[in-house]
Amino acid sequence: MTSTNRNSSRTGSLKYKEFRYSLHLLFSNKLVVFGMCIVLFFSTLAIIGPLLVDPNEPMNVNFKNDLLPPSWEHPFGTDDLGRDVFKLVILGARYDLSISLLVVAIAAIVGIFVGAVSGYVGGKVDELFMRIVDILFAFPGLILAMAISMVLGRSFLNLFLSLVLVWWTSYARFMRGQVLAEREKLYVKASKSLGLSNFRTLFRHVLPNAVFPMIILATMDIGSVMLSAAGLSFIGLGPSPFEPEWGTLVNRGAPYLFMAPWLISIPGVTILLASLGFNLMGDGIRDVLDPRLRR
Amino acid sequence: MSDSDIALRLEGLQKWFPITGGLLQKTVGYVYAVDDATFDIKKGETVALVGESGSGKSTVGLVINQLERATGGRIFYNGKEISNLKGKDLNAYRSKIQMVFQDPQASMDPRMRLKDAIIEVMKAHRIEGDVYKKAVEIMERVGLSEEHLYRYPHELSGGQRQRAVIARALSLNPEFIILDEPTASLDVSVQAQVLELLRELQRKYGYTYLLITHNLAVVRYISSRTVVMYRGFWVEKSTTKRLFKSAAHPYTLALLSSVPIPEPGAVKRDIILQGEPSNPTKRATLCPFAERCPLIMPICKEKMPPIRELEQDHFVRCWLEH
Repeated sequence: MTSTNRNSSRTGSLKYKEFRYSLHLLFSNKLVVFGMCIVLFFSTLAIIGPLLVDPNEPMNVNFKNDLLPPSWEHPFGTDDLGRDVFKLVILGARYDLSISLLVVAIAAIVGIFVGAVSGYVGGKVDELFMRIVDILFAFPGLILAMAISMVLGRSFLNLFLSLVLVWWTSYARFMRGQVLAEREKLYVKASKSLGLSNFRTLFRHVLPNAVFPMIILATMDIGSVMLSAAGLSFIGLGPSPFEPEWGTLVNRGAPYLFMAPWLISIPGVTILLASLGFNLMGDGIRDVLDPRLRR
Repeated sequence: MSDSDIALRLEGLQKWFPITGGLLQKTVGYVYAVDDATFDIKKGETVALVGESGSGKSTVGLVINQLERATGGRIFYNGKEISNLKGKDLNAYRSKIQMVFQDPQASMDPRMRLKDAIIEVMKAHRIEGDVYKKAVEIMERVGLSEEHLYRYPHELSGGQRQRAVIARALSLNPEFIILDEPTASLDVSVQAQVLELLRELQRKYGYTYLLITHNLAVVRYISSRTVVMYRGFWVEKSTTKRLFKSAAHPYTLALLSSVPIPEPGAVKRDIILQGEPSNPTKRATLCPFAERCPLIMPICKEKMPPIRELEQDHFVRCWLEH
């Protein structure tokens, strides 16, 4: 670092070059571009979906039209309540994207905070937090989320809560490790010798330096949270049938597997595509942000 | 030498780091990093603490700054015992005693501009007035300019970075500055500039320095008195002049013989020590230097050597001069 940045007047162009190189890395990988296109597509749907189709479609029960196969009028057919599956899938983007983004965001914030305090303070606080994390870690994630949302009852909020409860632990662990490594660096000692408080040292110095890898973890997690959320809804722990979350749609279509396969396959493929998109994009962002993984 | 002249006094300072092991993390032993550090530092002077790696010299600096708590012995600052300070008193003490670390790159937060780093320190200590103006003034004191305040540490050269670290230390108006190998990571040409800066600051503002180093050229250039440490014990202390002219302890002699003589054709006789310092997890009961001493005598293997004053203000811990 010292040698490349000796001449400070050139650092501007160096940074620019670095940025150009990052963009190059991001766009040169075709799979990553594909992933970003998918993400962009579903994000657009989530934002403007209710403008494209009637937002009241989930309530639009019409038994005369039930289980119609795909046609020009209903591109993805209709479900057992006679609702247009095409419109439901478009409206569902908002639910699935918001739950996965929110779960990752809240879990990351909670995990980062707990992990940072745990790693920096150490001692009994560390012991307490890490044992809680260990307990939660001992259960398979999906099973624990099932148990929690079964106890809490069936709703969108409870689905969100149970996923956060399962997901924050990995952030806490990872963050703790980062902070433990960062804490031993000389600048932390220096800020102590300058008489800065522990609180300030942790939040102004250690945290910003340790939080970077968390961003990578978070982008890579969005896809898997989406899969888990859909999975929980599929087994009936998601929101009510009138909220067109994709997992719920698959769940409602299951009894008609042989009569109307489009009820399962269309939302299923949608879930697969969306989480694939997020995973591919996450991989790309990791490659750019973490120079150690560059080939 | 009256007591009111003394800025810092160490009396038999000890720092042992516990070694934990086993299932219950019991203390199974100690690393005896510092076992006896005893010396005074007068106000406005520079005392050099020299010794090889592992001699405990840096640990002494950390304990003075209270980044590590002493295991034994006492530290007096301006006549007041400081080893039990807590909370506000400790903060007030730390603002008077500043530390400059060896590696300026590592001792600054890589994500903070100098401006933020310096102002943060001043704000944390509730320094009144226009902190920005003060920051600019301090930058000029160390030979940098206002423009450098907007740089990140990695955007500075090695010498500028060390100046920036010194500036950050000066921002609290300290009285006493611990310099832990301040020039070790710098180019030789820059070393001289930084040392000159430190000397000038001392002349202008009357700072007291404790210089921790293994570089004897630096010692001769800047310090008025020198303490030599070996494996946690001070072995010889005197004025720098006298030490360079008539050192008495065999270890000091060996150290001095390793300094190149800047004179063509000068005859130089190196004393090359055999072996390495003894295991720091065993507490020394004899002279810690006995195993490597070229002038070892039978008594060295029996008893700890006594402390002797050879001339005024020249002390040595050795059987030779007894």
